[in-house]
Amino acid sequence: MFKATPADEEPSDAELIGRWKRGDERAATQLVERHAPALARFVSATDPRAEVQDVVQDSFVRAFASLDGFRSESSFRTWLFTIARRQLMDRRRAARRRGDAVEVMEGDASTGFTALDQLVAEETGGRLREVVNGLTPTQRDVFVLRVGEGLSYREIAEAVGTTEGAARVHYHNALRAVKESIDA
Amino acid sequence: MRECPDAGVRDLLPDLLHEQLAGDERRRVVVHVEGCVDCSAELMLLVRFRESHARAGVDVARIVAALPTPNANRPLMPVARPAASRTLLGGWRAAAAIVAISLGAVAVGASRVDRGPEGPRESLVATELLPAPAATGLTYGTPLSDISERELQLLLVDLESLETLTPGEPHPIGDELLGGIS
Repeated sequence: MFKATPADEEPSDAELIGRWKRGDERAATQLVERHAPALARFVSATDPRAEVQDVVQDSFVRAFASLDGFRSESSFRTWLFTIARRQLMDRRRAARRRGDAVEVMEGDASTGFTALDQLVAEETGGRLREVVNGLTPTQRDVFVLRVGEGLSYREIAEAVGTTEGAARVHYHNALRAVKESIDA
Repeated sequence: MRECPDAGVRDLLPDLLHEQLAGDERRRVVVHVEGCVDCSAELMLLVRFRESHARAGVDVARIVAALPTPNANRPLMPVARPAASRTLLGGWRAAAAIVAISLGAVAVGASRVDRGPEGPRESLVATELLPAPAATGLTYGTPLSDISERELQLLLVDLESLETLTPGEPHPIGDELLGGIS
């Protein structure tokens, strides 16, 4: 069930970024192929109503447009998550201003189910997704990044703009909330 | 669902899930999970969430097509320049200025080095728009506004390579521009 992961022999993100800066556009394709699925999962999991293609595409465009300012101390993927998260927050703020959607604010974990949602929620995975979507925004983002993408607490802290210790607390609080909802 | 009191192991369950543990640490966590009902249940919960984690598809080609080009991140002019002799520096600076300025201008400025008794002295004079030198493969009469970025860079490389010319050799740009530098 648990297997060791073989060593990665592909070029690193830093190497691909360097190649792209020198004019190798295939390096951009490799970077997008490598990170787009994870970014899409994160966007979809943290905001089911988001236009995933648009958010992912805009995130990559912004990232590549500002690569000169990218600090190699953080991972490229973490940086992408940071950009995507900010985009989602901007879009939610814009939707609130338009009066389009009800935002789940920090401290409010209420959810609402339509008949179709209830049908989906009966399936275990669907129920889990609904429960996670009902978490506070920060708890949800931390939980998705930790369990869905396997980021470390340090990387999560960087992506959501908090400290490593706070990220750990958010994760365990989110996990506790998920367990309580499942058991209820 | 209860929580195992070993918070250290519970903290590592997502790392185990993503196969990011190795060696003794991995063995320790695996052995603990296999003997702990609470951690087994918690790990299964994490596995189920990861499996249900949305598999949203994205169009990679469309993303790549929308990216900025690599050249947007690089300066137009070469940064490093080899050392130049004082007698030729003004001339090549003038040639580079003409090429760079003429891309959007009708009239250009050029500097001329006058060799007087007090030594080389630069002065700015007006001149007409000049065609590109033949050394780069561009023919006289080719509008400088039609020069691509690649051709411009080749032109600049050619100009810098001309610093190796010995005095007396004809300059491809023309003496009228350089003010008769010898």
